[in-house]
Amino acid sequence: MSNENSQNKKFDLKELPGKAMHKIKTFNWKEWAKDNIFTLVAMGGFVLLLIVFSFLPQVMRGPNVTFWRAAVLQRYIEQVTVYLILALGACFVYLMGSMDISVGYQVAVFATIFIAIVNAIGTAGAIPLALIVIVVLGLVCAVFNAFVGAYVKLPTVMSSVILMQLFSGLTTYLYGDSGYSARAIVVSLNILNETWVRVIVLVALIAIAYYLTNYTVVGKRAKAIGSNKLAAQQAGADLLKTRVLCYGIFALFLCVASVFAIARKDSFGEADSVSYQMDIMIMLLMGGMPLSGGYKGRVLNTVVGTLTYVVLNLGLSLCGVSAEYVFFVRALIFVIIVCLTCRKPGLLLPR
Amino acid sequence: MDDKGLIFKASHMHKVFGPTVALKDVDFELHRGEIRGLIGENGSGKSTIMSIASGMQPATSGEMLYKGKPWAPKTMLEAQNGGIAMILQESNTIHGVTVAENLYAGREKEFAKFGFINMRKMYRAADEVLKKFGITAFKGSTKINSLSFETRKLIEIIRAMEKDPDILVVDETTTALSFDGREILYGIIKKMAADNKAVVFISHDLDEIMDKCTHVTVLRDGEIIDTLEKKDFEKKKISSLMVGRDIGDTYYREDFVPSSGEEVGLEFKNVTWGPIKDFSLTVHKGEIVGIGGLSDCGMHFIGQIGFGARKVSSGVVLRNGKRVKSPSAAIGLGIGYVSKNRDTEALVLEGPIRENILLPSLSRLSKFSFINPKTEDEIVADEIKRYSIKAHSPKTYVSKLSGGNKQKVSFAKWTAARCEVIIMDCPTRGVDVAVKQAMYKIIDNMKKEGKAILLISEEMTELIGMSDRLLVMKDFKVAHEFTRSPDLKETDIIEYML
Repeated sequence: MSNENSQNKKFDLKELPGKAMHKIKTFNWKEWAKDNIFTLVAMGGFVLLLIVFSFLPQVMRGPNVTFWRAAVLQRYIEQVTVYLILALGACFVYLMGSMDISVGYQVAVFATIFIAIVNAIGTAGAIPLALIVIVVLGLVCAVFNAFVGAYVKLPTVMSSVILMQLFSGLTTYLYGDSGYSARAIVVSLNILNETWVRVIVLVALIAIAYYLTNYTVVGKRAKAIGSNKLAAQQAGADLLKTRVLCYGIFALFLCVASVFAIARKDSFGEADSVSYQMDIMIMLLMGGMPLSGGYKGRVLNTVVGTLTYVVLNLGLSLCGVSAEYVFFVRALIFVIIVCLTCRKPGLLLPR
Repeated sequence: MDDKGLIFKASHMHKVFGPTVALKDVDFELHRGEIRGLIGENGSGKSTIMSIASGMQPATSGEMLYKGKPWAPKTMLEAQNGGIAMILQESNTIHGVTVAENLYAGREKEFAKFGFINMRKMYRAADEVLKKFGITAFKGSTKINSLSFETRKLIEIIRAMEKDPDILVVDETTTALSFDGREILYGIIKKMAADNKAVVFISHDLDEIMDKCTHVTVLRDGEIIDTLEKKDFEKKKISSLMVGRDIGDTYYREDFVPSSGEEVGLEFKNVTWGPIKDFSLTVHKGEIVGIGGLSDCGMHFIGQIGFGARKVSSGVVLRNGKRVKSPSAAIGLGIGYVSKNRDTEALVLEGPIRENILLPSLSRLSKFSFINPKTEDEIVADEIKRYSIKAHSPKTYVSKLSGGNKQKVSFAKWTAARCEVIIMDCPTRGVDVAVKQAMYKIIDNMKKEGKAILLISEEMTELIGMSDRLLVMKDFKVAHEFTRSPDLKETDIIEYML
């Protein structure tokens, strides 16, 4: 058989009616594992940490301290909720090879404005209005981020630096003058603290993010822009439109996360969210998401990264490791990831 | 030939990339004074042999001898210092710095005193080197970004020659060079052979290989099929050795009567952009309009303007009475564009073949914001079959494909998008003879289907063989227009180009 014919045969899907490409016999496990090495390592890391923290707290602090207790698992889901919602939204920005370091301050301002509106009206009926206000504010920030990236030709991280300064000032203004470091909400959002509500919301948001990244124009174009901006543009991707949509999706996730953040304590404190931007970056890296964006980034990376990060935090705290040491451990892990992933071009970190 | 002249030898060389076998137990010998052409289809392994010899990648197994001693360079720099220099197919210069800094990258210490680099000294040295190669159009202090893609390629050649190599490997470089640049390269190659050194010339251009080389080695599917001496060179014989079958005599269009539909496919109306002033052109449905000229004559800009990738300062580009304002508008109007800069503009290298092919079709395929993966799979399978794209799976990343297969993907994007107007800028660049033949057939079929085609090319034979009308550009203006004819010769065109 001639070479040409043999190739044709390999890809003639008409012989396999209705079957998807990945079911073709040419699928190669080794090749697949090589292409997905970071996701596989990230998943391995998650399982390893789960195993380690299954027995380490018992060894260090006695037989009663274990990860596998209902109360601890509830705490785990509670901590995962806000982080995962934020990370899923951030995933759209990171897929384009962009970055947002204003997340924590945006959450602080949105949460405070939400509380202020609800408190001013004083009834549960105020919640939709408060939500609309913060969503509009979030979308304005999204448009700002997208415009700066597309027209001023600045790296998008710079627009988020501007927003970070702005929102940091706003946070200081909102909390500084009042003399309180935290604001309580008069209408309880306790329903959002139910574990089953959290799980349903998380599963739904994961499904939405998965759908948007894999089966819609915006998700596919975001990945193309992350891999090669110029080629994506020449194939019809409107840079500004895609950026506005991706930052817009991020803003919506951010607003939902802000509400869940308030619900945790029925209040929100000035410093509650300041570390979020760095936490998200580490979570995504831990999950194998390339910071340069592109087709290698997936929602799965985001989920695995967040679950791992929270296991690590909670596990260390169960072991009795004090807060300052937790920072050291996280820094150490970050250094290890950087060393492993930025040695060759095309890996997770841009060089 | 006796072994005294042997300069390089590879024995039982084997190279695998994952499940792909690129080289199968290859034995290769190169002698002093030879200009050895390496020719084969895309993915035949011709670049792989020399990339191993020049330190770009290691062999999976096998041995190499260079000047009689074992040879296993770990990096390109190590190979270059040892005397084997390779000029690559794609751009390899450093942006944002000067010509001199590119020429002496990694050798800055030669110009340094107490840790400070004497830039004047470096510029002077660069100026002297440029003069030696007959280049006066720019200097060592010229910023590399101000130079064209073609000129930058020339700088790579000079950088490779600076170390006075014993073996020069030229990998598919001539297509990236200007007319003058090619002459300089041919001069270098001749001189190296005369100085009893060796040159390996990797190219898809059979005429060029036959004209410039003393020997030619034909590869197919990772194996050496035959090595011929100049006296045995015969175009048909080499082609059939490459492909493994007789490819026949038909290559370009067989008819010599210019033809086109009545309706207009794409229209440039008094377009002005940068150095291009008041340019007008009408491409009809079912017509192939060719544009030829030297690489810096402005023809590549015409393609970009037609696709909306460059905003005109006056005039309009029209399709069905609507203005083409941007690439996304152009795609919406059914215009496709195969860019000359394949790796930087036409393809998302770090993306799967599947997603690359589908990228321009996304808006069309989206229904209520959902894109059905089954429809996508069918489209991709059709395109992979149409172009015989050689890959393990549609999910294979484009960066892992050979040059010709990459080009097939950049073509497939626009057939998948069902474009009615296709602007092709050097569409068969870096593509082998069999693929070229298949692509010409596809272009001819597109014409027969009533598509309007704007074919911009630096290959005169291609333009003569395919175009209904042929515009020759010089200094950003149309210098002459030819109509399809069996009597049209390359010399007729060159007269207006230069």
